[in-house]
Amino acid sequence: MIVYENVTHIYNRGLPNQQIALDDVNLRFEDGEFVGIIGRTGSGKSTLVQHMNGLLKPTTGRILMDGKDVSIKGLGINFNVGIVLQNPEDQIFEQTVFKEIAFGPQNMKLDSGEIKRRVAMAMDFVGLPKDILETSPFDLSGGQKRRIAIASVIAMQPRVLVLDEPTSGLDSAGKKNILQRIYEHHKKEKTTVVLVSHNMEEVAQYVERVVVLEKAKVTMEGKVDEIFEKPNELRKIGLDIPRISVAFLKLKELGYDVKNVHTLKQAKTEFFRLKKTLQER
Amino acid sequence: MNPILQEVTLGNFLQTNSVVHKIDPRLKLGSVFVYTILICMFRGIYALLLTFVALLAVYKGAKIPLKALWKNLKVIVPIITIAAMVNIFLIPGSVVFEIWFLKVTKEGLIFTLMMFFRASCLVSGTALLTFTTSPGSLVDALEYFARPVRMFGGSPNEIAMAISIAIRFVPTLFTELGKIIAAQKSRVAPFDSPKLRERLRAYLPVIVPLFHITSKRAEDLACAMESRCYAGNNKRTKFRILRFGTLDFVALVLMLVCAVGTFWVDRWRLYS
Amino acid sequence: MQGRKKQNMIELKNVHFSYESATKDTKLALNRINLKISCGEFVAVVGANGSGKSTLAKHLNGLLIPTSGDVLVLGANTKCEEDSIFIKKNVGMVFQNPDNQLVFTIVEEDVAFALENLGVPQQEMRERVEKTLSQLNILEYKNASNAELSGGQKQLVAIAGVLVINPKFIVLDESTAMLDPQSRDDVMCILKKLNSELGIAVVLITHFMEEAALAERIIVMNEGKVELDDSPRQVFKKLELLESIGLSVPQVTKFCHELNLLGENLPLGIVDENECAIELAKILKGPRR
Repeated sequence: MIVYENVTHIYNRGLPNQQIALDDVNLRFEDGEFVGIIGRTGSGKSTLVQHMNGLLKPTTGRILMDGKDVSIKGLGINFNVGIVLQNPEDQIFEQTVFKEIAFGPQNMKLDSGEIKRRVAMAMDFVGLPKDILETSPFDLSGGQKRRIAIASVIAMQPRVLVLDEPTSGLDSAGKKNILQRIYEHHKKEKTTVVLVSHNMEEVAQYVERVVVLEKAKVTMEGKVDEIFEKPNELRKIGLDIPRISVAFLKLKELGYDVKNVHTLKQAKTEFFRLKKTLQER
Repeated sequence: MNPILQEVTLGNFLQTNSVVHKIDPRLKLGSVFVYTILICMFRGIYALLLTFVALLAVYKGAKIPLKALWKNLKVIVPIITIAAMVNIFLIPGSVVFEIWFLKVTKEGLIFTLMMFFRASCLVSGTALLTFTTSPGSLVDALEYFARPVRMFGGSPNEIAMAISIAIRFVPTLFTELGKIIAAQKSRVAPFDSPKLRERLRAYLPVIVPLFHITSKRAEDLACAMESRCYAGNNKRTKFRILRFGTLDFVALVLMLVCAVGTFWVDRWRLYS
Repeated sequence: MQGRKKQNMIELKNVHFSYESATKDTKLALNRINLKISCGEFVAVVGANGSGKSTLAKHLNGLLIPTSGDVLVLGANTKCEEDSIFIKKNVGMVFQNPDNQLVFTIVEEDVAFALENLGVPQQEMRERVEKTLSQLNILEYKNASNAELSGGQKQLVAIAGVLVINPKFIVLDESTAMLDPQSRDDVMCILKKLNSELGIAVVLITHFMEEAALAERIIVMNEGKVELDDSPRQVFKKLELLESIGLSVPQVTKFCHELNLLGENLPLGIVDENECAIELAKILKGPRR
């Protein structure tokens, strides 16, 4: 369990370009949860997640992992939390895919047998074929590079996996592929997953709980259904709602007694329920 | 954007709309030039100290917090410390005190102090220029001073443009650098290892991606400039026309007074 | 430029293009492209990663020259060195990452860059910069430094930087990819306005299908070829084809399609939420009347 206690983070403190990126944030991430973090660009999402493994230290406040303060300055990185940063393909540097994915486990001083096992596991996880292990990652396509970068974090087997806009810039096939696999991994291994995303359709489909950030503050928090029950509030702070929700809100405006929906599955169920009740009348 | 790197201020322009920001960029660039030469010429510590104090006063006038300056100075501190350690013990002269077999001399101490202030003055002077002058105006100033290259068939505009883009890219590169370091740190790269060799090795995974990203960005920028009809010729017109006004005249006089004054302090007051 | 036939379009004739690559066998990035994009159109170009859509974009203003075939911009061939400035003046290009395309730090200085390059007198330059900034509703940021702006605002500045030279076409190469949904909407709004009020043709390279749905015409790229070239409705009717080449359709289109598979009878290729709701309402009412 990770707990944020009154976390504030200020960049360039005391300079003309001073910026409050997090303002008194209190949050709780339970073990085995799939949490989505949404908010406009600049609302503090990236700053928030980079505190989780100690990449950033709070200006004030603290972050507890299983009751232990992991935000003390000078303390290194907390490797129980694996973060895939934005555009992670930018971090690729090794000559072969194997070495790239093995970089993390190697730094963790694991033995070579274990490293091999982990690389194989991570490759499998992101759905990359074994025969590219010895090719240079720079020769691969953008989508494959992204998956290698994700695999390189997965190979460290973190208890908490944080993904900062993992699908941005990918085509829809690539998007679906990555998220579906992460979701399956979460279900199987009970890993905690924190997903930062702009794509509400993604969030609605995979996430259990949503945290909404606005101007450095947590303004809403709750189960995904509860959050999308308030489309007007979300729109007010510049966030989207899934298109299917928009269509059903319109249907409601046309005088039909429909519930708010936010996934295709819910929409279908709701449509047929409505159809049935109307026919029975 | 990734947050970690917003912390860097090196090479950044900080808009505070102060008087210093409004001074003609040619004067500012020229002053930094003159002043760099002066600093290298000073023989005594008093003039250096005086210059440093005067500089701090200009920072105040420019409304640039000293914290921004400190961030730039921090970069050179390790280099100066190493050089100081060497000099302080190696320069012969009258011994002030001894630690075991190492002799600390008065000459060594003064030399080290001077080196420290010299470096600080140089860094804070050049940083002041970039803090208070937008890259665009800086190009204008550079172009103005590069005019003689026309005689040799060169294009002052191209030179100025190249330099300005280099300056404009410094913060971006720092941003990228910070991002990559964050990513590799998350993969347990031993940046904080007590062993120097390990720490140096940890930087390889930083340099390779940085190189890739930089070339990609440079390519993009070249495309963007070409798309906006940039051809690097001398037929370009200027959006900003530089005018040397009253404010600039006052600044010039002040600058000259300071230059002559410190030089006088350095040469005549001390040695006559 | 002499002897050029006046034409109101960008025309691609039999365009082939391959990147020179030392390591691998050269693959065609563009394979026999024949297209016409007329003045005043609003076209979206979609395709999976690596389908050649960005390569196509770079051909439209001569940043890339076809390996074989011709690209004619208002009659001028991009192969012709002397027409280079003419072509770039008429086809403005906006790129993905605003940080890589803004040349100067101050907004008005950056917007003036192209005018400086074209040798426009200073007084006229100031007027045109102000006019352009107010057209895009960003006049208030005139003296701001780019670092103070959000991604969406920066992208508007980048658009201003090409709009200022009055191009007939604006090509946006995934310019909305790095923006959040709200900023994307802002940029789309501005593009729609430029298209309808100033008659500027917009070529929008994107991988957001909801954005593409707002265009008049969608060109679907796959493996260097034009797979489809039609109105959004016609294009999104072919859901299976799109999904087979790594693309998706807007969520409501998908929903209507799935209902049809379950035995409902909705028109194909619905892209608009309003229309979707109205069609659903028709079905719900249907049996009663």
